[in-house]
Amino acid sequence: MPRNSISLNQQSKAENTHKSVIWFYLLFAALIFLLPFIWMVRIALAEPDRVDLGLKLLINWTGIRPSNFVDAWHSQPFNRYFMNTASVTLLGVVAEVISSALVAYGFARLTFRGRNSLFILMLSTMMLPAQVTMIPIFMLFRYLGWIDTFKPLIVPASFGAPFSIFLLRQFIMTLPRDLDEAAELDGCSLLGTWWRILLPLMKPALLTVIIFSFIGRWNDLLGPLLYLNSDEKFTLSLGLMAFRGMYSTQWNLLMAASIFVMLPCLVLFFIAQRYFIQGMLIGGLKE
Amino acid sequence: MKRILEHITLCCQWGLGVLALAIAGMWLSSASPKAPAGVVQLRYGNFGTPEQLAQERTIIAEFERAHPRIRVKLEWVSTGNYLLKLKTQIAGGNAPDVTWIGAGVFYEFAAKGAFLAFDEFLDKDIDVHRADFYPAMLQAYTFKDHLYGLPKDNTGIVLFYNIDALQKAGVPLPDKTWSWNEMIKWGKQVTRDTNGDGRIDQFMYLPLWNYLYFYQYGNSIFDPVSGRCLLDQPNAVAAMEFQRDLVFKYHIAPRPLETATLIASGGSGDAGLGAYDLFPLGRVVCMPCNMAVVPYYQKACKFRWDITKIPRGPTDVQLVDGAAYPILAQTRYPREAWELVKFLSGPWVQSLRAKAGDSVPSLKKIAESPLFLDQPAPPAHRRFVLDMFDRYKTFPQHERLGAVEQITGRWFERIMSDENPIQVQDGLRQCAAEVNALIESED
Repeated sequence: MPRNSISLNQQSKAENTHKSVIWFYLLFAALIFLLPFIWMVRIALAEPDRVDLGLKLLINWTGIRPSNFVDAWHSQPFNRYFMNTASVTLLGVVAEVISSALVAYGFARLTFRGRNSLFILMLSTMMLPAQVTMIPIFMLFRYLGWIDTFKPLIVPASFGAPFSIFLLRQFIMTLPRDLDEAAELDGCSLLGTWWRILLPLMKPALLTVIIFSFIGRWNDLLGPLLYLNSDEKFTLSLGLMAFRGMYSTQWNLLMAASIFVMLPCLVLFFIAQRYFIQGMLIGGLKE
Repeated sequence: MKRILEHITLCCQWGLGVLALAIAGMWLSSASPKAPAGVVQLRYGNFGTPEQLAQERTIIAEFERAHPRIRVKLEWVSTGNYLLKLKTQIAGGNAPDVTWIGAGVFYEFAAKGAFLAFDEFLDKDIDVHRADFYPAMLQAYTFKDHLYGLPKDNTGIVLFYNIDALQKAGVPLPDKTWSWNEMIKWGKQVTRDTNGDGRIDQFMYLPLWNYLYFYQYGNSIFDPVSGRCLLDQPNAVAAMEFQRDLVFKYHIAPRPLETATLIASGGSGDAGLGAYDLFPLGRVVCMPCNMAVVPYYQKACKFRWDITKIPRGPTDVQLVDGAAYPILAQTRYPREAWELVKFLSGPWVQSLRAKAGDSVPSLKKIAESPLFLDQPAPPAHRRFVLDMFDRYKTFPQHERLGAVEQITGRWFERIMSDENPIQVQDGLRQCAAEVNALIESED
C-alpha cells in the first residue's frame, strides 16, 4: 500500500476518533441537561399520592399513568386559562414589539437634545426591582378601574419595554445609515423608512424580542396574581400554582400540566431558534 | 403627492392595527357582571386547592340562598400567593370585604388597622356568643382587647405517629402521659438503619414548630409589657439546647444534612415543606404538625397511623394554630360582611368542615359532636385535640412577627447546623439583640 494512503487512513481514523469523543461528550452533556425534563415527565406519569418522587423514580418505570395528563387538564378549566393566556400574551407581544421597535428607532436614528440622558433614564428603570413599583402601579390601575381586567397585562406593553428597546436600538445602530439616506432621497418619510426599510432588516432582533416577550408573558405569575380576581380570567401560571397545597403538592398533576404549559414556548423557540441565536449575537456586532 | 399617499397608507395601516388592538382590549377587559339594584355584592378573598375551592363554592351558594339580598364574589388564589396579593390589595385600597387568615400572621394585619373590630357586632347580634367558641381561639384573634376575627377552625399542633413502625420496633404507642423522656428513651430503639446501607433512614422525631419548645420551657418569645424579645433568657437557651440534644446528643432526630438527604432521596423536596413528606415516607415515625395535614396523610400514608398530644416538657403547654374570618376595614358593607362572617363560622359551614376532617371545627358543639369525632378515616383519637384546649398557647403575638421570624429562622438554623454551629447561648443572645434592634427601629 502506498505510503500516502496509509497516512490518509490514519488521519481519517484519528478524525473519526476525535469526532466520536466529541459526539459522546455532547450526548452526555445533552443527557445531563435533559435529565430534569425526563424526571419531570416521569413524575407526570407517576401514580397519584405517590410520595417517593426522588431520582430513584427514574430507574423504576413501573406504575405509569398516562391519564394524568387528561386528569390534570380537566382538574381545572385549563381550556379557558389557555385562551386567556394566549390572548394576553399575543396582544402583549404585538404591542411590545411594535412600540419598542419604534422607540428604539428614535433612540438610534433621531438626533435631539437629551437623547442620551433619556436613554440612560429608560435603562435605569430596568434596575428598579418589581417590588418597589408594585404598589404604586397597583394603585394607578385601581384609579383607572383596571383591576380584574386584562388591561394591566396588555396596555403597559404598548409603551415599550426597556430591555427590548435596548436590544433593538443596538441592532439598528449596526445597520448602515446609507439605507436611511437612500430612502429619504427616494422620498420616504421617517416612519416610512422605519416601516419599509429597517423593520424587514431587523428580523433576527425582532424575533429575539418576540421570544423573550412571549416567554415572559406566557409564564408571568405576579401580574395575573395581583390584577386578576375572577378565576374565569385566570392564566395558566395561576392554574399551575393551584396544585400546590399548604402541606402537600399534587406533583404528578402539576408536572403533567406544566408540560402542556411549556409546549408553546418550546415550539416557538424551535421555530425561531436560528434567528434567536443570530439575534443573541447582536451585542458583539459593531457598525 | 406620492408622499401624501404614502402617509395616508401608513396611517391607515396603523389605524387598523390600533383598532384591532382596541377591539381585542375591550373584549379582554370585560368587567365582571354587576349585582342588580338593591343587592349588595361582597368580595370574599380566599385561597387553597381546587378541591377547597369547590367546597367554598358550595358554602357561598348556600349563603346566597339564605341571604337573597347579598351576593358574594369569591376571589380565589392558590396557597402560598395569597398573602402577597392581600397585602398589595390592602396597600392599594382594593381589599376584599371578607377573607380568612392564619393565626401566625393575623396580629401583623390587625396591628396595622387592616381589620374591623367585632365588638359592636357581637354586642348587637343575638345569634353569636363568645362562649360558643374555644377561648384559646378567640384569644388568638384578639388585639388590644378587641376581637378582630371569628374562628374558622383550629388546628392544634399534635403528634402524628406511625403505628406499624412503632409496633415493629416493640415500642409502646405514645399517649397523653408521655414526656420527652419517653420520646428519647423509645426513640433510640426506633431510630435505625432499616436497609443495612450504613445510614440511618428511620428517625423517631423531627423537631419542627420551634415555639412549642420555648413555650414548654416557660419562654414566651416576647415580653408582654415591653415587647422586647426574650430569646436570650436562660429558659430559651434551655429550650434550644433541648432541640439540639434531640438531634446531636440522643440522635433520635435527623441532622439538617440528614433531613435534606432523606428528602432528596425520596421526598418531594418542596422547599420548607418537604419535611412533612418524611412521615408518609416512613423516615420519621413521630411528626409534629397541625390537623391541616390530615387529608394529605390519609391519602399518602400506606401504614396505620394516629395522633396524640405533643409530649410534656418542663410544662405541658401545647401550641395552637388555626385561622379566622376578619372583615377588612376598607369594606363599604360592614353589616353584610358580618352576616357572611357569621355564616362562615356558623353551624352549617362548621359541620361541612367537620366532615372534611382537615381541621377542628371552631364551634364547640360541632367539634364535640360525632360529626367530627367519629369518622371512619384516621386519626382515630381526634378527641386529643379537644382535650388540650386548656393548655393551648397561640403563636407569638407581635406586630412584626414576619420580619422577626426571618431573623430568628436564620439564627435557629445556625444553632442547629451540623457544620460550624454557633453556641446556643451566643446564638440566641445575638438573635435577641438583632430582633430588639428591629423592634426599637420601628418604635
